[in-house]
Amino acid sequence: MVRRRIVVGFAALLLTGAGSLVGLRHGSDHVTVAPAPATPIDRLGDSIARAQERLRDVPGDYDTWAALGGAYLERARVTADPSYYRKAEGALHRSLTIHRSGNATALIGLGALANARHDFAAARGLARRALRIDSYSADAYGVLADAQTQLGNAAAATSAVQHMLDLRPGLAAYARASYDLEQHGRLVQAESLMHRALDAAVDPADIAFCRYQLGELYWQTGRLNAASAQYTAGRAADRSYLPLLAGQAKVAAAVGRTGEALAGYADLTARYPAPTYLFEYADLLRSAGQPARADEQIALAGAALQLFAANGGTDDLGTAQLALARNRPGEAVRAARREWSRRHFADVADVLGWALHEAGSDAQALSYAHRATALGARNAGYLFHLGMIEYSLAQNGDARRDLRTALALNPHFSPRYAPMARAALARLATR
Amino acid sequence: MHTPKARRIGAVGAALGLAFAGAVAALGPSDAGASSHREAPLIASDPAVDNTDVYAFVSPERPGYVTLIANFIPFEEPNGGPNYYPFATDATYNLKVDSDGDAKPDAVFRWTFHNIDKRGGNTFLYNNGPVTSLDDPNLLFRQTYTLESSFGGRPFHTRINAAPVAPSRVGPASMPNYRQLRDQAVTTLPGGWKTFAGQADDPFFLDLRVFDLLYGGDLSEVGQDTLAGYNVNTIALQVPFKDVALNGDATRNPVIGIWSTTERPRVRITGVNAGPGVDRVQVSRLGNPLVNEVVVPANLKDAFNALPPDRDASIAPVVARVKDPEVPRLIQAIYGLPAPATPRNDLTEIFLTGITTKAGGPIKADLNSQLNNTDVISSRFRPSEMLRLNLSIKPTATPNRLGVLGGDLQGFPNGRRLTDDVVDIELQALEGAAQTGKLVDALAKGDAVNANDNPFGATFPYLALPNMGAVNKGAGTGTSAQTNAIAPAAVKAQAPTPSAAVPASSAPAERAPNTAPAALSRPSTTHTVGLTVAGATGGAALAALLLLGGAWFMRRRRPAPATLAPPAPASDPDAPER
Amino acid sequence: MRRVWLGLATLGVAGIAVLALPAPHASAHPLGNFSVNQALAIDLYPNRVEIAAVVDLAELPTLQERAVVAAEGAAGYNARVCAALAHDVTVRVDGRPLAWTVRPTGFAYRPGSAGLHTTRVTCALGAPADLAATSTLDVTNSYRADRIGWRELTATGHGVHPVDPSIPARSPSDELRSYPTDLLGSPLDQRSARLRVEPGDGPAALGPKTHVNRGDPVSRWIASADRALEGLVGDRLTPLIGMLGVVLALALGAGHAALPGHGKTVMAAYLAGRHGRPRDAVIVGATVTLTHTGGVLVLGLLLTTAAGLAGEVVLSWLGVASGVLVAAVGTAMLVTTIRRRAPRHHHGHDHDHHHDHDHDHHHHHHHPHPAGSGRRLGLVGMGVAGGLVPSPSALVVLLGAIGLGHTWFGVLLVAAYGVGMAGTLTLAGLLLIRLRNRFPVRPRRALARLTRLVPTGSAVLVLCVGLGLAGRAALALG
Repeated sequence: MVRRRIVVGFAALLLTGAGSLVGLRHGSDHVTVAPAPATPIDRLGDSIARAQERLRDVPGDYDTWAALGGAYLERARVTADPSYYRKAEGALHRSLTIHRSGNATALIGLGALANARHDFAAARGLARRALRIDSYSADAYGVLADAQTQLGNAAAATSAVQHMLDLRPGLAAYARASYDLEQHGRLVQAESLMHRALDAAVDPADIAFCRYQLGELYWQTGRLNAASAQYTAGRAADRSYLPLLAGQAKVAAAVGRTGEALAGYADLTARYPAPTYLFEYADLLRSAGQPARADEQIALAGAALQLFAANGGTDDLGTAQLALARNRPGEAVRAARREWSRRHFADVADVLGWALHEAGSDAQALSYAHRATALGARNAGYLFHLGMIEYSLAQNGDARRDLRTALALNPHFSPRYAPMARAALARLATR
Repeated sequence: MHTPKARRIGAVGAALGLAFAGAVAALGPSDAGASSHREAPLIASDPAVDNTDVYAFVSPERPGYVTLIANFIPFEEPNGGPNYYPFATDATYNLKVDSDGDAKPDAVFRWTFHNIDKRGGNTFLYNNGPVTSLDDPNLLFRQTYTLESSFGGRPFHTRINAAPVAPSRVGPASMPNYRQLRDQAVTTLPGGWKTFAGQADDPFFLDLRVFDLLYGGDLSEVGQDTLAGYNVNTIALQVPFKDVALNGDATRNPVIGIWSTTERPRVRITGVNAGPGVDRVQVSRLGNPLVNEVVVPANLKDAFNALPPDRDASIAPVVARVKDPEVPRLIQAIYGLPAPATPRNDLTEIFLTGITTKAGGPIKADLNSQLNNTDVISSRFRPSEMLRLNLSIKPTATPNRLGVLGGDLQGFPNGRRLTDDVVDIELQALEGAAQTGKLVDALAKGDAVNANDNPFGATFPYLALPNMGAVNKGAGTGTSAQTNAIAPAAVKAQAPTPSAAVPASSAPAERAPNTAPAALSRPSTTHTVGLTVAGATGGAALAALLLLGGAWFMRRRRPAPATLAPPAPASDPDAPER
Repeated sequence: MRRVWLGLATLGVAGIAVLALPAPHASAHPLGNFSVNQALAIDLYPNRVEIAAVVDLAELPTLQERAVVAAEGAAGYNARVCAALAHDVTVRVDGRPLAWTVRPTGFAYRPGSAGLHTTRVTCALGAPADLAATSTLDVTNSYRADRIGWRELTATGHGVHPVDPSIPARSPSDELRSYPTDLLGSPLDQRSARLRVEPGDGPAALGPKTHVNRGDPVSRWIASADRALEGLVGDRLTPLIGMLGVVLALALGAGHAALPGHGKTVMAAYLAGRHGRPRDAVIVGATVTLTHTGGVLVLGLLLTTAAGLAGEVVLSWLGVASGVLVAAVGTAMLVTTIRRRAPRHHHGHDHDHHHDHDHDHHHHHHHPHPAGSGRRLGLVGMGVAGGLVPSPSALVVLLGAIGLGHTWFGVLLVAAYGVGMAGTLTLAGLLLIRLRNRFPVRPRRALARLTRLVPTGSAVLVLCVGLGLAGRAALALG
C-alpha cells in the first residue's frame, strides 16, 4: 500500500515537475524582445507592435489576432524571413479558434498564407469563404485574384481584380491590376497603374515593391536605364528588399558589367537562396564560362526545392525548371505535366512547352507555347521559347517573327538564351 | 476564472498546444524553396485615406458660422526622425452635407492635394534648415491643395488653388515657431470661408480598451488616453450657415447632416480605356464617432465604408445592429446591468434619423433631424448614418463633456465638439440614457478618459498643435507656443476618479499609447472630443460619482465589496427631452 | 516484491510515455532553411571579457559553405568563421575596443530537414579588460549583418555585474537549440547593446552555471571527460564513436556515482545499517538506474520541448524533492528502528547471542527481517532519491545529443550513464555487505552496543543528509 503510494507520489512528482516546467516556459515567453528599431515610418512594424501589445492584454480579441496574422504575412513577404509565416499561421488559427464562424479576416489571412505556400486551390476556397461572409472585402478579392491568376483562370482573376478596384482602390489593388494588364500584354497601362501604386505607397517596403515592379516592366521592354533607376530608387527606399538586387544584377549583366552582376547574384543568393534567383545566377555563370559554379547553384536550388517538398509543399513547376537546368527533359516534362494538371497558368504552359521541346516533342510543345502567350503577354522569354519551337518545326516565318519580337522587346532578356535567339535568327536568314 | 485549477488546466493545455505547435511548425512550406510568383502587398497600409473622425459645431467665437473638421491618418508618431505625413495626392478628401434629409449630399467640399518636392534625388530630408514660413526655401517638401465646392449636385467650383498645407511638425530645430506656420496655413476665402489643412494633435480622446469587453477583456484598466501623443492630418472648414442650410435659410431649416469621405478615381482594367476614369470610388467614410466599433458588425465594415449613406437603410444588418446592439447585451451578460428592451428605436434616432418626434421614435424631443427643417419633404427623408447638427442652438460658455446627455444641447449627438466625450456618451446612450433621460450610474465612469491630452484653441481651426517627441515620452505640443489655449495643460488622472468633484479646470488624461481593436490599417479608427474645462455643473459632479461606481462595477469577476455604484446624487441629469 | 516491480514498471512506463511525446526531430529549421543564426554569450570578469559565440547555419547556408568546409577542413572552417566573427563583433570598454584572442571551439553538422544538414559552429573570444571600476560596454555584432536570422546577446557577470542590463543573462533560445515559438514576439534581432558594469556580484548575480563540481582532481577529470563526451556527440557519429561514447558514458556514470554527494553515500550507510543483502544492493542499483535515466530523460525532453527554461531551477526543485524524499526515508527508518527497539529489546539480545554462537553468514537467514515491505520500500526510496537528481553532466550529454539531432543516441548514453552509476552503487553495496560478512564482528560489549546503534545512527544520518540536500537545493532556489 505504502509502496503504491510512493509510486503514485513519484508519478505525481514527475507530472507536477512537468507542469511547472510548462508553467515556467509559459511565463518566459515574454522574454522575446521587441523588434529592432524601425525605419522612419514603418506602419507595418508599428501595427505589429500595437497588435502584439494589445493581444497580451486582450488575448480574446480575435479580430486583432487575424489582423496580426495578416501583418506577419506582409512582413514575411517583405523580409523574406520565413519564421513570420509560422507566426502568421499561429495567429490566424488562434483567431479562428476563438471565433470560428463569420471570421472573414482570419480566412483572408489563411488564404494569403496558402497563396504564399503555392496552395492556390486552397487559397481560392478560403477567399470564397471569406467573401460569403463579407462580400465587400477588397482583401478577399485580392487573395482570390492571386489564386485565380496562378491557377490560370485569367478571366476570373481579372474580375476579382476589378472587384478589388471597385471596392478599395489603393496600392494592393493597383499592383494587382498592373500585373493583370501586364499578363495581357498591356504594358503601358500596367506601367501607369504601377506608378499609381507607387504614389499610394507609404511603407518603405511597399515603395520598394512598386519600384521593383516598375523596374521589371522597364526591363521587360529593354529600357535598361529606366529599369536601373527604379531598382536604385527602390534600394534607397528600402535596402532590405531583396528582389531589387536581382534587378540591379540583371541590368549589370545586360550592359556587360559581368563581374558586378555575378557579385550581385552571389550576394543575393547568399542572403536569399530562392530557386528563381539561383537559376538566373546559374545561367549567368554558365554564360560567363563558369559551369562548375553554375552547377553548384543548381544543386542548391535542388536542395531548396527538396526542403520545400520535405515540408509538405508541392511545386512541380520548380521541379520542372530544375530538371531543365539539369538537362533532364523527360523528368521536366513529367513534373510540368503534373503542375499543368493542377493549374493552367502561363508560366506552367511555358515551362511545359519548353520541356517538351527539349525532350524532342516539338509538335506538342507548340500548343503549350501558344497557351503561354494566349493572353497576349509580351514576355521575351515566352516568345523566345515559342520561336525556338517553331524553329525546330521549321515554321520559319513564325519563328523569325517571334524570335525577333522577343529580341525587340528586350535584347538582354537572358544572358544564356538571348545569344541563342540571335544565332537561331542568323540561321533562319540562311534557310 | 483564474483559479489554480484553471491555471493547471491551462498548463496542460499549453503543453498540448506546445506539442501541436511542434507538429504545425513542421508543416508549412514557406521558405525560399518554391519557384517564385508575384506576391503583391495585400494589407498595405493606406493611412492617408483612413478617416478617423468628423466634428461639426457652431463656431463659438464666430456666430453664424459652422466649423466642420475631418481627420485622417491615425497614429502619427511624432518621434524624432524626419517623419512627414502627406495627404494622398491620388485621392480626394470630402466633407459632405445633407440638409434635406434624403441622405444625398447637398453640399460637397472637396480637397485635392499636390506635392511640391524640391528634394531631387539628393536628400530625403524634408527641410535643409530652419523653416520659418510656409514658402521658406528650406522647406524642401510641401503640399498644397485645391478646395472645390459643389451645391445641390451642380458642378464643382474651385474656391482656391495652391493653398498651403501646414507641414508635419518635424521638430523644434527645423520649425522653431510652428504656430506661425500653422497660422499661415489658415486661409480666408471670399464669403467668409476659412479653410485649413495640415497636421494637428489628434483631438480624439478615449481609452479604446473600453471596447475590450467585446473580446472578453478586463475593464478595470481603462483610463489611458489611447491616442494621447499622436498626431493626425486634419482638414477644417468654416462656412456661414447659409452655405450649408437648406435653401440657404438656417432659421427655417437649421439641421444639417455631415459626413466625410475619401475617394479615389475608379480604375478599370478591361476595355480599351483601361485606367482611371472620372467617377470615384469611396474608400472610407465617417459620420458619427465609433460607428465601426459600436454599430457596424465586423463583417459589414467594408460594406459600410464603401456605401453612400442613402444605402444605409437598405443594409438590414446595420439597421438590425443599431436596433439590437451588442454592447448592452455584453454588459448585461458580464456585469448584470439589464440591457434596455429592443428594438432600440432611441438608437435609431441617435444614429440614423436624428432626434425628432416626427419619426415616431421614443425620444420626445425635436433636436437634430432634418425632418425638423421646415422645408424638408418628409417623404424623401431617408434614415442614414451621419453626424447631425442643429445650427440654431447657441454655443454655451460652459460646455458639458457629456453633451446632450449632460443637458448641454450643443454637444454630441447634436453635432460634435472637440471636447465632447463621445465614448462615455455613446456608452450611456447604448444603455438607454437618451431614452430614459437618466444617466446609467454604473457606467458613468465610461472609459475614464474625459478630455484630450492637449488643450484646444479658441479660434479656427481650434485643434491643438501637433505633438512633438515620441508618444511614450509625451513631449506634448509645446504649450508655450499655445498662445490662445483656453485650458491649462493636461494633468494625469488615475483610472477610477477618486472623488465626486471633478475640478472644473482639470483635463484628465493619461499619456500612454494603446492599440485600437482595428489598429491595423483599416479605415475604422474612430474618435472623439472632450471638453476641457468649464462644466463643473451638477452633471459633472454626478458623472464623477458615477465614474467611481463604474470603476467598481467594471472590475470584472472580482469579489467587489461594493459592486454597485454608491448612490447617485439626486441632482437631475437634465435629460434631453424638454 | 511484485509491488516493487510494479512500481519500477510504472516508472519505466512513465519514461516511455515521456519518450513518446513528440520529440524534436529533424524538421525544418524553425527560422527558415536559409537563416544564419547567432548567439553571443558575454561573460564579464573584473579583468577580462569572454564571449562564447554560437553560429547556427540552416540547411541552405550549410550547403552553400560545404565547399569551403571541404577545402579547409572542419578545423580550418571553424577557425575562419571565428576569425570573421571576431572581426565583426566589437566590444568597447569606455570607448576603447577590445582586441580579441580567438579560439575556435567547435564545428558540427547536425541532421536537418530533407536529409540535409545544418551547421553549428562555436567560438570563444577573450580579451583582457579592466572592469574593476564602473565602466560602460558597447557591444555590436555585425557578423553577417545582411543575413536573415536570429541574433541574440546575453551577458553574465562574474565578480562584476551589469546594472539594469538591457540584455538577458540567459539565452532565450538555449543557445540556438530551441527557438521560442511565442506568437506575440518578433524573432530576436539583437545586434547591439550597451552595458554599464559595476564591480562586485550585483543583487541580480546569477549562481555559477551548473556544471560538475569543480575543484578536486577527480572532479576535474570527470568534467573534462564530460566535455570530451559532449564533443564526441557533437561530431559526426560513426558506430565506433558511438560505442566509445557508450563506454565513456558507462565510465562517467560509474565515476559520478563514486563521487561524494547526492544520495549515494546515504545508500551505503543504509545498506550497512540495515544489514543489506546482495539482492538489496541490486535493487538499489536498478532503481537508481531507472530513476536517473527516467529523470534525465523527462527533464531533458521537457527542456528541449519547453525551450528557454532555466535548467538550474528545475534541478534545484528536483533537489528539494529528492532531499525531502531522503529525509522521509530517514524518518521512516528511524521510526521503525525505535519502534522495534522497545518491544523487541530481547531480540537484540538474541541477536548478540546469535552472533556469538553462530556462523555469521547464516545470520540473515535467521534474523527476522525488519518488516519486509517497509524494507523494500526503503530501498526503492533510496534508489529513487539517489537517482532523482539528474546529474548535470548526464543532462548536458542528453541535451547536447538532442540539440545535435542524435536524440536516440543521447537516450542511449544517458541509459549507459545510469547503468554505470548503478554499477558503482551496486558494487559498493555488495562490497559493503561482503566486507561486513567477511569480517564478522565479534564485538565486545561496547562494540555490541555500538552495533545496535548502527541502524539508529544510519537512520539519523539519512535524515540529516536528506534535510541537508533539501536545504541546499532550496537555498539555490532562493
